[in-house]
Amino acid sequence: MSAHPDQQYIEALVNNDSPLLKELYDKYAGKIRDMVLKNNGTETDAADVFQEALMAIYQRAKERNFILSCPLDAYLYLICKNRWINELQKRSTRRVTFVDTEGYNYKEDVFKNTEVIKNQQERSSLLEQKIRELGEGCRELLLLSWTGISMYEVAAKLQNSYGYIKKKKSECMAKLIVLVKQSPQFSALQW
Amino acid sequence: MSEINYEIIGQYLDGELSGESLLTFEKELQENPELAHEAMLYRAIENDRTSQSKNREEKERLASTLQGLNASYFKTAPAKTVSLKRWWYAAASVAAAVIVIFVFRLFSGESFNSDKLFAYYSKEIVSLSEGQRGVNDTLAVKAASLYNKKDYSQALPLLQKTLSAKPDDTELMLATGVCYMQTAKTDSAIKIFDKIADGSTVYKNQAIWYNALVLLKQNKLEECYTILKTIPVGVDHYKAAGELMKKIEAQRK
Repeated sequence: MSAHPDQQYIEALVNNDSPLLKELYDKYAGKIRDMVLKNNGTETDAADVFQEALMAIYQRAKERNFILSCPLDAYLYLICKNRWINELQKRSTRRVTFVDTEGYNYKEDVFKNTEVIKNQQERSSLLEQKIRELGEGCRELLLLSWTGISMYEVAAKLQNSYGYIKKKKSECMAKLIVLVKQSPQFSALQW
Repeated sequence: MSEINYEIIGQYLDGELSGESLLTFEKELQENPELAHEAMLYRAIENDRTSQSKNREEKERLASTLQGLNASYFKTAPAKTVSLKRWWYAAASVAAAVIVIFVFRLFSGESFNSDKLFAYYSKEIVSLSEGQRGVNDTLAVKAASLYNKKDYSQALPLLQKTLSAKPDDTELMLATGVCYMQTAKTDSAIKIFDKIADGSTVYKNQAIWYNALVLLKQNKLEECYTILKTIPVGVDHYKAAGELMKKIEAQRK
């Protein structure tokens, strides 16, 4: 699959390339602002939605090789639209009606990519929530073990033996997996 | 349902199994879908968390660039949540110079003191908007007024009552949490802050910050540090969080 020329903006996010990111804002920030403002949001909401969407694309690009096969325009709009509808639903008990400000024709892979990003974010947020529900000991051990240091270093930091820490980690992971599986969101997510 | 051995899953994913034990485990993975499913979940969780943690600094740098661009491309709207933020920014900028000097004088050459630090940081509480509580809602206005006068023990019962009528009002929820924090009801405070931190409202980072303050008060410094690290670059309390993290780091040495 060949990359769309807008792939340069994905690379700009990955490389924190300020001039190119400025170009990205020049091209797209206005459309997202219009969409949010026309749908009961503020400029600050628009800025938040836009930034969150860009961070989500960055995260996706970091996790695996991400090739953009369509213009970024439609893709970014769809991610922001989904996020904003979610936010509106959280804020209001009434049914949310959404006014589209852009008429894109989406190809199948745009929907697919958007879904992947949505899934990834919901998965991360569920994990964050469940990690908070763990006991202090487990939480500390797991968070340390995910920082990239070796389990020997984790054991040293927690002043315990390597063997004990390895065993304890698997117990904590088992607890976390149970909590995650018990949550109502679990079955709707891709793992 | 068979008993799953998570220790072996961990060893397998860490590449610590070899020879016979590796072959046996791989065979079991193929034959036992339940085991395969748990191993897949184990790996997915590890991958997600490690990648979130690994790119942290890089992510913060990008967030900071985007935040800078946001300031040039979006105007601040006079919405309720924003006005609160604006109030905070204004107050923060006015107070910044004073705070820097004060913190320097308060802590230079002194040993780490959780209570003193808590007392210092917990003085800076974002006000609750009284005007937006509604003219007919006298209870809420009274609660907000007491809260803004820092009379937390008097404000608490009124806020609880108001909150029971408006359980979705995150600003009220946050204020109730602050009252719990200031009146040493730490468990209730943490419960509320956790709930807000799990959401995606503009109060999310304030809740994380206050949660860190409760942990500071309890002298749970490592937990406090871990939570402080989750406050994104450029948001409310980011600077104070960095400052507090440095204090905790210095204390470790």
